[in-house]
Amino acid sequence: MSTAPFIAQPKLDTIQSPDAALGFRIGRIKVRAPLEVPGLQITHTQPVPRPARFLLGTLSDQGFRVIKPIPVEVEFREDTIITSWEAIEEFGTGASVFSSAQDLGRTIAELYRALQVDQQNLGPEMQRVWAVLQEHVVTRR
Amino acid sequence: MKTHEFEKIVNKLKLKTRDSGDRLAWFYYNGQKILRTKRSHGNKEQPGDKIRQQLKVNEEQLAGLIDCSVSLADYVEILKAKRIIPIQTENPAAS
Repeated sequence: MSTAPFIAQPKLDTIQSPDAALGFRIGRIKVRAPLEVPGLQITHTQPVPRPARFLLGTLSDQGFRVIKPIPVEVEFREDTIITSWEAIEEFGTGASVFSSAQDLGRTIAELYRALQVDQQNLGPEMQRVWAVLQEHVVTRR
Repeated sequence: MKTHEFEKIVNKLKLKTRDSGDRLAWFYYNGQKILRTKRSHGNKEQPGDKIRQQLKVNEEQLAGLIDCSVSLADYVEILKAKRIIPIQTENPAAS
């Protein structure tokens, strides 16, 4: 009496190549439009616009704490991104929004220190800038 | 604005920068800190409009600072007219 061969189907996650590691390749496939698959819905989304402004809540300097968020404008230029704080006409530059904001934060910290040591010796414009800075930034104790 | 143009302004206005390579350049008048502007390291091109804002000049005046048509004395007069240099500060001993 012959018996039928016993075939065990391995689970998908245990399939292994006996000789070599399995490989796979990612490539583009062409599909005819419109692609209609029951149960599948394709939606087209618009690119997310890059932010034109944000609030800066920290400086790139451990010596300072931001007590009131700093409104930052972002400008995308040809080869650089400029972040600026219009109230004191300060700016940072960088290849990304992040690096530009870091640069702005460093500059604000440097400006704060420079004005702090010369508080009694500031012209009218720097007095104004110093007052604005103190509304937003304090030194850490 | 090219970096060398920025440096022309730094020299003409005798802006004070520290040797440590600070980003800020300060304009002093009669011992007072009047204005500051900034050098961005690593960039060949400096944002001229932002620097112009910080120096409190218009486009024509900025161009004059880069070439020879606006002197340090002219610049002081521009700032006095805008009350950025206090009127009572009459001693012209800059820095």
